[in-house]
Amino acid sequence: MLLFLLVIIPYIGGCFSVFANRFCNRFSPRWNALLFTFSTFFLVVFILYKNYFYIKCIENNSNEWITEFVFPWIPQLGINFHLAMDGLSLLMVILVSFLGVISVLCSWEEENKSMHVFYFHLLFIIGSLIGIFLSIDLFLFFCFWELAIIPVYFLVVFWGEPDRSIKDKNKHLLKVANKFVVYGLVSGFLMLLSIFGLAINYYNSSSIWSFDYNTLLKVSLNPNLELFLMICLFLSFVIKMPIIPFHSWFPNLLINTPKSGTIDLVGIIVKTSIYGLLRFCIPLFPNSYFKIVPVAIVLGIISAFYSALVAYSQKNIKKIVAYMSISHMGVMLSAIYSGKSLLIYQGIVIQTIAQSLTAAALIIVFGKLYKKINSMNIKKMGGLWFNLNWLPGLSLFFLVSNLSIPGTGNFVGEFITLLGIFNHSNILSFMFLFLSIFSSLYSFNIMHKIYYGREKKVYFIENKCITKTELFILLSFVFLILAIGFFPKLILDISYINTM
Amino acid sequence: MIIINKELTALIPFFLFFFNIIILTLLISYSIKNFKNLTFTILAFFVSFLSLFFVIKIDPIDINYLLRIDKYSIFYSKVFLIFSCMICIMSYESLKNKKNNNSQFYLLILLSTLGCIILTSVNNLISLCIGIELVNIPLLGLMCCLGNYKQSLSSVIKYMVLSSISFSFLLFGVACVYIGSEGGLSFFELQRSLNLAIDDSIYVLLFGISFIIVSFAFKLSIFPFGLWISDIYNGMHSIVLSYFSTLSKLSLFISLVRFFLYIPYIKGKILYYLLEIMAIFSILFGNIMALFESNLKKLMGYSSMSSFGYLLAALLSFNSFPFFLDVIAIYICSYLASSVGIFFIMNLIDLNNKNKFKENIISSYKGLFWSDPFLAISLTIMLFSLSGIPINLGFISKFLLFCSIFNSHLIFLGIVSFLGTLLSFYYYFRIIINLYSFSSEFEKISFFTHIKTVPGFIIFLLDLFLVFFGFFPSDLIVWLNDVIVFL
Repeated sequence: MLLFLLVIIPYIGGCFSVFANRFCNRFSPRWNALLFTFSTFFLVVFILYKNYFYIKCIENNSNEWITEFVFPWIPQLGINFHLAMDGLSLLMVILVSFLGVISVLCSWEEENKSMHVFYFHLLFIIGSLIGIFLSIDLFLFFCFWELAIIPVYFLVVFWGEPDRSIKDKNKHLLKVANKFVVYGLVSGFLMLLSIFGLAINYYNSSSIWSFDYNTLLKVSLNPNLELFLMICLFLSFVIKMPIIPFHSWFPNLLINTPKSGTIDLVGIIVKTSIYGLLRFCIPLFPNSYFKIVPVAIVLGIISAFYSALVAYSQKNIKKIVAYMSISHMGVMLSAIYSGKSLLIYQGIVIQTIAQSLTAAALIIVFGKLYKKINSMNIKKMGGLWFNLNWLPGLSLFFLVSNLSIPGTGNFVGEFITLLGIFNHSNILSFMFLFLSIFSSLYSFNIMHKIYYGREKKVYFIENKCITKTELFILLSFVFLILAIGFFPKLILDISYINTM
Repeated sequence: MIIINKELTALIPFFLFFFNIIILTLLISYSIKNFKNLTFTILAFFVSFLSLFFVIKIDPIDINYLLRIDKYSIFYSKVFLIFSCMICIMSYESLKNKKNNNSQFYLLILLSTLGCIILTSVNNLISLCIGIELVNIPLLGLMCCLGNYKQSLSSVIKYMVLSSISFSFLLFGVACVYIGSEGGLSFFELQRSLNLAIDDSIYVLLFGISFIIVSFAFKLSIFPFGLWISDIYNGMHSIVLSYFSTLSKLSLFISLVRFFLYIPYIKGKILYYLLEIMAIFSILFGNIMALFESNLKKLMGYSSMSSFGYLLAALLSFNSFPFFLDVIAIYICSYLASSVGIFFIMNLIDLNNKNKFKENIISSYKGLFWSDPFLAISLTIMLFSLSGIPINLGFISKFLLFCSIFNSHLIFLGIVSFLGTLLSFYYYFRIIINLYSFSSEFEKISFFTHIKTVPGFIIFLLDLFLVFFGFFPSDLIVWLNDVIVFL
């Protein structure tokens, strides 16, 4: 029941916030959104606390869920409203709900047009993401996967802020958002095709309809069919990830989102595909895993190196963050496919969490920077270190933690992953070590061009400081990243309870 | 010709309809007060709706090999009665604005609905012909009742020519079947003679049936015969369209389903291939043409073309899926509710802003949400339902449809319908985005003013229907399972 509440609370909150400004003053949508996101966060922490003893004591890898919720939905087709939680989904839901609270706080001082609809969409995204991470019925998973696309579309079209040089603003936003939707829907329908294949195969062998994950795990498939269905599912996740040939929607989307960074935090949307690969693509098709290994690893390497290089040559800060994220995704994709081991899996989980925290923090920092100097272009910046109070130091911290310096969560994640990869293929491991040179290149390039060097233009900055809320948000990110770095044991413990 | 008591009871709804039509004719000639006539029409619908409950007790029953009244036909008759009653209520406002009171609108709709009800229960090629003409001839009158006279006249003439051509195809097909089955016209005899036929006579039969299919394809606007659709849709008033694009076509489709159940697959393989090709092309063609369309009415025309492609696909997947009648029923319900709703909303917007929406261009709906949130949200729900986005009856129906298609191993057809759905997302989103964009010059209408009026309430009910059964489709499926027991 708790899981059901967890999914439904953000949706209810979304519906509430549409009508919130009708009854109270115009700030009430904000308070309403904060209330609902915070209660979601509280609920997850409560679930964690309740099962803490269980997590601590677990000795061997038992294939059981922490909690479950089943409710028959369409019994004629064997579709259940089946939510379940294991270590991986627990961590992901904590991450989503935390970022949800932050994203509401982040746009706290923004003056947007029609806030109530804005928060409606935001809460819908959070609800769908939680649904994606919790749903175990494939039909339900697909429903949430599609539902997450629509609010992002609306958010970009109505509240997007494209570059100033673009003349026809609305048309440009429409184009960007359409691109996103087309990619998203193609991905969704490839997934649906694969789900149909699984379900119908099961129906033909047992004449019972079922879309349940636990049932479909045990099905034996004809090798060719398995390969086909696997490729469909794999492609659907890779498009959403994004990996190089399918990546062009992502940087475009990111640079056109509102500068307060609200949606970008929900850019954890791309992390759903890592989850999908771990949860569905590998366990459902165990025999064809090895057939796609070379392709996946090569794709991952190409996108890691290529986007690191592209990130170096970009001028727009947000685009750099986007390519940075693609580069990390490439690393993770090849890590997932380099071997099936607990070490790699745990490393990937920590890396996912730490990297989404750093990327989110960087986006917030750059958003604040944009607010101060009204530009995203690196070439127009320079020598800002002494003009701002908190931002330079914080951005240095996050950029360095993005490079996986010891002490940060990213380091733990990357260390464990590389250790795991080394067992299977040492060459790949070396390649990724080599990649860190590339990433240091673009990270320090940004740092140098923005904060050091000669001032290219005299900026008149009224207010050097950032507000207390913003400081609180950023310091909480710092705290979390360091906490994961120093005490990764809790996450390792939680992610140990997996059903894969 | 002996008619037993029971059969007379089964015919009660038809008799009531005739009776009501005659009374309405007298009423109209006596007074042309719009409201009085509307009240009587609603009463007529209500009475015949009630009489259907008596008929349920004695089904299934054959009436002289002409009609077969069973749960299937009664279910669809109920659905059609409800929806045409809705259309009558919605038309009241638009009719009131006309200079010469067009009360004959109700008369024509009653006549045409009678044809629809006959079509749901046809069991014989003769009654099929009668039903089709009874649906179509009043339609020609209906088109002229509302809207721009010149435009609608041109579409009337086009449609008249087309429908007479298609009817001649139908007659030719019927004649061929008559020869092939050696003097039998009922579906039973057709089935029997198809099963018994030796090489030569089966060709005559198949030839005849394929001509009948061609005639159906003309009326349902399926691919090679449905290219007229955008022209005719553009000329019609949206209320008339809400009748034309849903009830008149769906009733025909329902009789097509019944017709095809009598054709054994082994003998009529070629017909199924024919239908499959038609379905594939109409899905692709309808969706691709709609991509580049900027006129909302034309776009709805193309989208209805692709919808009938999906329905044909559902019909083709009969052999291995036991629920295919349910799939068709759910698809029809969602299609009816959403497209009727869209046309109603178009009509309401037309009425509210008289001078702006002459062209029906999509961009003229810009910023509707900020001026009229209720209509915009309802339109969004209906478009979502047509395109098949989750938590909507449309999504459930599409999902069931894909299930049944893939389960009967029509892989190519399934992939094409996938592609078609993907394409359809694009153009439906283009409409939706227009509704919410920020440039509005409308006067503001609050959310709740609409629900208080009758038309707004009807739209609200349709929304509720779509969303509620999107959440809990199992109830609907169970209910339909009870209702539709064929044969």
